[in-house]
Amino acid sequence: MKYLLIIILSYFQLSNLTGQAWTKPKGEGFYKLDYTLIHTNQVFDPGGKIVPFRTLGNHTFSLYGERGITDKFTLQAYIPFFVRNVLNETKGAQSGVLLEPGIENNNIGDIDIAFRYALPFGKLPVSATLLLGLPTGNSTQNSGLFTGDGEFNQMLKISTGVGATKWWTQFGFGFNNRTKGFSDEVRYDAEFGYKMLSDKLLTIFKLSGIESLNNGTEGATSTGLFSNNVEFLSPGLEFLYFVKPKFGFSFRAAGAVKGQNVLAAPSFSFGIFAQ
Amino acid sequence: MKQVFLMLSSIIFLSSCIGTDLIEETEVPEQVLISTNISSIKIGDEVLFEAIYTNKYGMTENKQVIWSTSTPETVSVTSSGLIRALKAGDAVIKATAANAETTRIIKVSADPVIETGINTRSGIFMSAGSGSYTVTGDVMITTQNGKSKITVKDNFKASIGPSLFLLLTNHTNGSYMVVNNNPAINGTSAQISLNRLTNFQGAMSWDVPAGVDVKNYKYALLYCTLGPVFGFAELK
Repeated sequence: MKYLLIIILSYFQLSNLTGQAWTKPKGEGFYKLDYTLIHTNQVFDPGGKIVPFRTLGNHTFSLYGERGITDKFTLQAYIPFFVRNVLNETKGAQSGVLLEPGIENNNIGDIDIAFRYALPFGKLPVSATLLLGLPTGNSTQNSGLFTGDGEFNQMLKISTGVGATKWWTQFGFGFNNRTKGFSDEVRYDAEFGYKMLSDKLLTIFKLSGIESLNNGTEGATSTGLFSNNVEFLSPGLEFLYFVKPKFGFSFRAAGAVKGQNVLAAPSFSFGIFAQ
Repeated sequence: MKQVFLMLSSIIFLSSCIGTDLIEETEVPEQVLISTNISSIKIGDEVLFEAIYTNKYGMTENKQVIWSTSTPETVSVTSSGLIRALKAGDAVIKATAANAETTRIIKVSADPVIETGINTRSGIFMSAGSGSYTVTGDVMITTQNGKSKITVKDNFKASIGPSLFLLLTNHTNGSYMVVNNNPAINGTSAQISLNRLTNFQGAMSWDVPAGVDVKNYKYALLYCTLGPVFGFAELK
């Protein structure tokens, strides 16, 4: 699968980053503790059709942080420090006999480290991000219920945007080079953010997607259903509410309107953040 | 704030537990399956026959099995299923449990019996209509000397799946039992591959586990334990 969950969760998590066209000023940072849930019994199959699936729950507790090392250089990290995947048991509806036991896998997920650098393009904010996906998750569980894909990937992404006091919009485009026979990917996103309620509520609409180049090997694919040749187009909406000027709560919902080899269900995230 | 925290904690706790998915089952005839795959013995030999009873959902149940023989002077059988070859000839051994029964013809001869014939059944995989998941290619079961083997040929190709198993089944609706490393056998299905498949095309073969009489099953089937039946072949 194989797995799947981890992959789309990672994507959703990273897509949660906002304002990536801009680097953080030196010494400033943004930190977030998040819980993300996906619970579904449907999946987008390799042809993009939605098919029934054994009910699966994915629970990810993560830390995200970014900090301006200099005005033009920002360090980012996404650490899914606890991932719990559960697969329902199955029973015969009439006989009541246990057909297959439930499965669970509790582990750390794949950590992402990223370096964002402001490129000199005059007044237009343009940044380049190098993201390294570390295979820290579990990719050997017997039933394919992985928490990581087991491969080291590198993504180079260019982002740009425009903004004013109350709003901003940005666009990003990246190429993700995957190893161990996994297919490379093109990732893209577009985002619009707006501040309301005297700047206490930040509302962000984001559209993100992945297109697989489908150039991997079968050996990579066979290790898990969803970790290879994943594609989706995902709209998401996030609210960040500032209880205090530097502290608040967040809620985010994201889903896939089309996809392949990925769960056909929305993800919901609850978090607290500080900056 | 406290209420929000409690609500979130409840959501996390409840949704993170392992739940139960109910799978609709197809009714099949009650069966008694003689799992001892022997049909010829020599005079003086004894063999313990074993049988399992499966109910209308194909699930194994503990029922008393009653053994009998058509010609006790040729082959005798005890209440526990121990048969003894007494003289040359044929005998029909019958096992009865609840409302089901089955028979096995036993040939008795003076010399050790070597079965040289090969019984073959074959079929062509077709997709089960589960989205884009497909299976194509030829499959064949050969049985010789009481041992069976399932072979898929060069033209075999299946969609890649995370938890795909090869089964022999009596229906195609997906309510099968699968156990890693310890094949599940009942009246609905017999698990042939011990573990999930990691190769999805080309020629491959599997030894049929002991205790599985291939004659009792109608289909060879590829089943993803996470959900769909990928495809099946009716064996003829």
